[in-house]
Amino acid sequence: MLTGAQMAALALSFKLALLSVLCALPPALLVAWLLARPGLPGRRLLEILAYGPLVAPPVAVGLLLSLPAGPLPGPNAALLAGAVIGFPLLVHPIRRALNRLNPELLEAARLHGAGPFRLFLTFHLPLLGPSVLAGMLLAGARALGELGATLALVDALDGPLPTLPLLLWQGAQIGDGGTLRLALVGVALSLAALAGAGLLARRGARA
Amino acid sequence: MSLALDITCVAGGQKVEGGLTAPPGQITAIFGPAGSGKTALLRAIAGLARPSRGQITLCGRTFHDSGRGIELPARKRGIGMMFDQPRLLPHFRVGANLAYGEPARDPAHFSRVADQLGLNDLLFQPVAGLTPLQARLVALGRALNRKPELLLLDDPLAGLPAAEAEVLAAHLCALRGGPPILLATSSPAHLAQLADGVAVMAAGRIGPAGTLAEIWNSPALPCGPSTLIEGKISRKDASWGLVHVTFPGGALKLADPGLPIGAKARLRVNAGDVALALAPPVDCSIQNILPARLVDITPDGASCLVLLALGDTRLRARITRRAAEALGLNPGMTCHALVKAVALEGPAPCP
Repeated sequence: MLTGAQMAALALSFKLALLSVLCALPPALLVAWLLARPGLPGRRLLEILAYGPLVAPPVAVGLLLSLPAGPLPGPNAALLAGAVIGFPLLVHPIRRALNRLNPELLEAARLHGAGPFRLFLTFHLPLLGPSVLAGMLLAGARALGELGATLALVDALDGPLPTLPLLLWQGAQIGDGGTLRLALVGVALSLAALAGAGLLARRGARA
Repeated sequence: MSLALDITCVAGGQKVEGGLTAPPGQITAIFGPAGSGKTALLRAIAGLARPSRGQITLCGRTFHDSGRGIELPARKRGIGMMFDQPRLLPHFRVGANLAYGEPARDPAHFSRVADQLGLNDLLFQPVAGLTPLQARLVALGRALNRKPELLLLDDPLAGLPAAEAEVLAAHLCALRGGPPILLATSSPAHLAQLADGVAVMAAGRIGPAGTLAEIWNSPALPCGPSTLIEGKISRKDASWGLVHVTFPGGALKLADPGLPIGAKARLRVNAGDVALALAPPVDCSIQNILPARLVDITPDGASCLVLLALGDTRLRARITRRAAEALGLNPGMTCHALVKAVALEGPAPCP
């Protein structure tokens, strides 16, 4: 079984991943909405910037972030790194769901008396909700394993928090056999998140 | 209580121009071919497209006034609409779609509408499994649940098989007597079935308007050579299964459609089903023989279109040019119209 330190690292990583996804959600909704508008000037550039963290080396992303943000204390570094690295995975499903929204249905709902609030409750929330959740799962799973950007961002004096990826890395360095179990748990969690996101995305596409 | 408008509007690359009034209690049709701007006009009335000039008012409420810069949002216009597609929300069941117009405000009204449209057994079904007719009935129910002050119908019968169109048409006819209903259609058959008044639309312009019979029988609207006659069932002949429909200028006998005495009956007589005789024929199987005065005669290829006056009612006949020559037909002559077939065009009785 997992050791006490490993359990604590898992719990900490969960908390950080959830918080970073929640921080990233408002800007991700805005960016997804902008990307779903055809003909918006600068859309291609915004797309490259938003999807960049998916392919850019994480350490490089962390270094670039540290230019304006400066070295950050442990929790802040982990939150910012998790939010930015998971951002593309959060944006993408929401953008696809926005593209699928049928403007004719929206028109029918408006004409039959729905104001902005009721439109949100009866139209946007049910049609976008599953995709937002899917994006949150994917981005959360990605943030859970984030280490490279965090290391580049964190204040050297403070040091990174003892998260799941840090324990994995440290364990691998000293050849600790118990680390393999933690690695398996980490992989299993990501696969579960992937499966869950897939189910949600299919549900969103059916609606 | 009428809808009145006079607008210029450009919507989706389609220009619409002209004026129109639609009184309450009846169905006013906008009749024109596909692409003539019917949908664009309905969208402007609904508040989904903004006119560049003019006014739209409904019983004193201003929907749009370019001069005063008024544009009432679509959701505040109190309109119910059937679009060209049902446009139901796929993530809601039938009941929630029906209630969308006015959620939980008036449960009694909701059940009345569901009852009237026969949707009670479907309330908990997802909309994905509905037949085309059912989906349109749900769309109609959603519009009615709003207690609309104006009902807009964009070609509601188009594309339905005849039997199903008949059912929906009966439901639509049953809505007469309420708020103004505006119906866009390109089908003469649907026009004859549903409309009371007609405004003709062509290339984005709202043209001549009048009662259905006026427009149908006018040269402005050559709906195939036929005549539309509005009459009343005056007598039943139970032993022969016939009814007499009386109209200004005569009466016609036809098979009993099951309507009561006094009911309005709209008859269509195709010009090809009317023959002419100078003297009333004897020993003839045709039962509808009406004295008439010949008003006009127009050659048309090998045949002639003959316009007859039966009192105040006009009737069209198509005969061969050879027959017209042989009978020596001329305007002003009196003759007898032999009507071989009469079709009852609604309003259809409600199921």
